[in-house]
Amino acid sequence: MTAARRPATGRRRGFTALEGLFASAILALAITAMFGLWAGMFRRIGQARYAAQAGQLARAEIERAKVYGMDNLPAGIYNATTDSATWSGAYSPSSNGWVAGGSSYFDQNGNRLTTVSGAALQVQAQIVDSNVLPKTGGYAFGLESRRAFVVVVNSVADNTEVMRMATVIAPGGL
Amino acid sequence: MKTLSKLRRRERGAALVAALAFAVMTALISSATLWVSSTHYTRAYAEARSESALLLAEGGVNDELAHLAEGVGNPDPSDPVVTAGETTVYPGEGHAVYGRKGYVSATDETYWVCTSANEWARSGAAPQPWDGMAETFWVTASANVKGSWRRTEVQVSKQSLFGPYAVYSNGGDDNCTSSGVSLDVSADVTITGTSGTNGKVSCAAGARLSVGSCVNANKGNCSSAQYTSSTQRTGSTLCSRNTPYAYPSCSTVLKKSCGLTSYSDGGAWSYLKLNNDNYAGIYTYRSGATSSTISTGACVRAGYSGTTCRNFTYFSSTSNGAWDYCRSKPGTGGAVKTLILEPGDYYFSSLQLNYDSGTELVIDPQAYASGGTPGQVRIWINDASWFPMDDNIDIPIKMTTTTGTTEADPSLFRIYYSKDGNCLNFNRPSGCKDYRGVSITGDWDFCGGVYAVTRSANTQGCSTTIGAQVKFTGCTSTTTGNGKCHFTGSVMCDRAAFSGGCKVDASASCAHKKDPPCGARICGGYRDCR
Repeated sequence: MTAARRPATGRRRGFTALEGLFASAILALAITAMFGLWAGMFRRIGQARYAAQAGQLARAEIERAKVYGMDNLPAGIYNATTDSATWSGAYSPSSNGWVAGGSSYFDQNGNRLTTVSGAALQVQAQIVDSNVLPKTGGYAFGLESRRAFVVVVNSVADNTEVMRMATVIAPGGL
Repeated sequence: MKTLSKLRRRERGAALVAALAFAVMTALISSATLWVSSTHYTRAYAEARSESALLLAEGGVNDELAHLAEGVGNPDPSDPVVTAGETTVYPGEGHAVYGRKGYVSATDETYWVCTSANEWARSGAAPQPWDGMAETFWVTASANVKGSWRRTEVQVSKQSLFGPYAVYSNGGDDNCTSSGVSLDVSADVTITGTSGTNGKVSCAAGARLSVGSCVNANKGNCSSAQYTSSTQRTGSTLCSRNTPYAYPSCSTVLKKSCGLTSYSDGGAWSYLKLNNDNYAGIYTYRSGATSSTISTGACVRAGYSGTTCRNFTYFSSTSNGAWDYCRSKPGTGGAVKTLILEPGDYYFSSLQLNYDSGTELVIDPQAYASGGTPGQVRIWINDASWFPMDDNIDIPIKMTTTTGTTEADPSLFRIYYSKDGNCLNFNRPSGCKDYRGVSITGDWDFCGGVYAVTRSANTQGCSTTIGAQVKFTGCTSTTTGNGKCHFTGSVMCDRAAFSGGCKVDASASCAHKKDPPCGARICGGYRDCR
């Protein structure tokens, strides 16, 4: 009986240890994978929030440009060769208008910041004017002129582009 | 013991099973959360892309409006058809997307935009091309941003050619040797509103020119001798443009305006010569009328159907022209005969209206004489004979006004002048006396829109013998009457000339829905065809 029971007990104990080892390995793998997935999930949720936030910021910027309209957006630098003009910068409430060469910054909740410190998103606008009428010291617009308005939203953390939206503004248009 | 052993045997692998079960559950939970986060991520981006596509489609609509404005008077709409080589299909449609493909600088997204006579995208109707003249039409743009499609449709109305400029001279040649605008030594000219030219502006020594904002077009060929800041009033702008504004010829305007696009130029004029309102629309006072107020009771059809309009005996003819058919104006003792033009299209090969106190011309866009529908009075002048003459308007042109107003509406009278190499003269003669013998003083008012373009800008040149000229002549400061030739409205011509005292005032109300188009503006329905 004793001899017969020992091997049985030994086999059971040994098997349980191996089994425990396997089980632990599986658990470790599962937990590792889960944390890995969670990390990816959190990253994606963050990106989604960035994308949504960036989309709203870009859209707001374009709507602002439309409200300013053809004649009230800033004028760019005229290029006689291409008969066009370009401008880049951002809207600044503190300056009460568009600031050439500047950027505007927003935290992850979409709040406007005065500096890059603590910012999650950076917004810049580009304007490309075509079919313009040059005049002394600048240019004017005719009925056939167009103003392409492009908004680029970048992530401050890694300086990658999150969103780019564009439209065309023309006399009498939307 | 046996039972215990059995139980232990049953426990073998339980931890592994539990671990596996935990792993499976973890995988399931992780997958679910991953799916949720992934969906959230995808939807967030899709929503942003969709918004981006909508803004791009709206940009496409705006681009088409600017595109329509490029073809001054003769726009080249992007038709609602599939362009050659286009294979991109709008979701749910069994054909490639309609319209002209466009881009916005600094992006790689595209839109397709087209102009149509009807609202097709939302209604599902077959799209019809816009004929270039219908007052309202539709612009539709479809945009694709990384797979997200949006489509926008808006109703627009054409803008009149007679809106943007007080005076525009289409003339100008390859080397800018000829004048688009010329002032002789006696000229004293004031133009309010915007002036523009494709050609040279020449002022004789002693001439005085005062203009507001100006556009010097065709700078590629005409680098100098156009409008200068020295003749501009304070606060005006002086713009330039390398290429000319290419206004369509009168013949092209006629064909589009009257639905004669399948005709040749000559064929269209021949058609108009036979099909016009000369007979039906020319009125005068009734015999025995007691009131000079123009009304159906006081007026009757004159019965004249000729295609020359003159108020004097011409060469060997014994006819005094159209005024032979007119009756006297009540209250003038039979001294003044009145010719009244009702709304409609009139064709004349010659317009010779010398100053004569006994003849009066009334433009009646309000249709008081006939009791018909108020509308535009359009005079088309062309002469296909060997010896076309210059044309003259040396008498004041009176216009009826709506009840309660005294100001004539410049949108309701047009002269389209298509005599290449000839001149349409608006004169305020000096020393004029009315039928009572009383001297007439003060400015002489003309009101409406004059279109005198026969030549393509910058292709065939424009000289004193080529192109159509519109000339304004007023009194000088020393001549009797001392009144200016005062034109209110808009003048588009190959060449504009001025002599004596002249004044051209642009009018914001000069545009009319029947005019040739110069761009378009949104006027109504906005549809997000999502």
